[in-house]
Amino acid sequence: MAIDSDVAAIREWAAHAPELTVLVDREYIVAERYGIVNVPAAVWIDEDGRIVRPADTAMGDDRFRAFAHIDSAVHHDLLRAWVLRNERDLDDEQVAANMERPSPELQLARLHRRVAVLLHDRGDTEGASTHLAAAEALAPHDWVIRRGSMPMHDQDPFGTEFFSFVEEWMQAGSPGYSLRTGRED
Amino acid sequence: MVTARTATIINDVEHVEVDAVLGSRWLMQPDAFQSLTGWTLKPEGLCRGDVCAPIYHRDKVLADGLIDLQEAAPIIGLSVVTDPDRGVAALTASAPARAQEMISLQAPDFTLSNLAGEPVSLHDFNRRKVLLLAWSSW
Repeated sequence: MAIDSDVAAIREWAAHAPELTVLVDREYIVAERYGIVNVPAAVWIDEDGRIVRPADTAMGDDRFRAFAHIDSAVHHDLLRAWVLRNERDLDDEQVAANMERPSPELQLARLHRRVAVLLHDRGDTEGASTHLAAAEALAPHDWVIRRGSMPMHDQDPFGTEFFSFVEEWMQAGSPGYSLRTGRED
Repeated sequence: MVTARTATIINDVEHVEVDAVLGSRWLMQPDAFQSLTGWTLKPEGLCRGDVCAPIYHRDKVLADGLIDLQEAAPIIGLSVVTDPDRGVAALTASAPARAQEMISLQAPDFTLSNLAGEPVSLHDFNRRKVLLLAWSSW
């Protein structure tokens, strides 16, 4: 599920994994429901439609290990144990405690971003910028809001603005995803 | 006399065209408000089924029989952003309402498009384990 407003860009990436069901969440609808504040992230849902592991960072491999300090194998091993042997590493109480519950400001930020995407699609660049700025001010440490809006600002998501955002986020105590699966720091 | 015009509301499922009176506020006829939110304006407040939420500041929430969306939303557990100038608003669950839903651990159903533009829902994977993987191009 791509948390992304740029369908053409998603299409290029999705071509590498034709065996997967790829969905597009341009307006962060599912991101909002499941508390996704950064990517890549995984949520586990069991056969009864229950969340058995809440949103948490889940790297596909170790290419960002030096930067993110996450050992991707930790989540992979947990996932394998759940899929193959039905073993869970968290009980319901721990799942509930680690759900990324939103603040009122984050909900408003997400709504401003939805308005921005619609105005952007209509060609109202100024209106889109106004609402993106409101979203960013309300949720300054949310990666899908801040970094995810950089392409709409014509900013490089690996450029100067990104690294100053990371600095800001670290100074705020690296908020988001309390489970910290595989974190090495 | 103020006249209603067509405006767009983004909710968790779709974009809805509604009639609204837009100025410094975003006002809606009670029936339009009801079809949008499921809540009906009654003398005792805003009601849905057996539940009624009292309106404590009627002068703020109501104006000449119209409902102020910005003021009414929090009463019924919704977060809202309105842009009356551009005729666009967005609605979703308020933070406490969403937190309540999350700790129930019931995975909320959703429908999104795949890359062929076809709708795919969580319930299509019923009785199977699902790994919901969030990623992006950015």
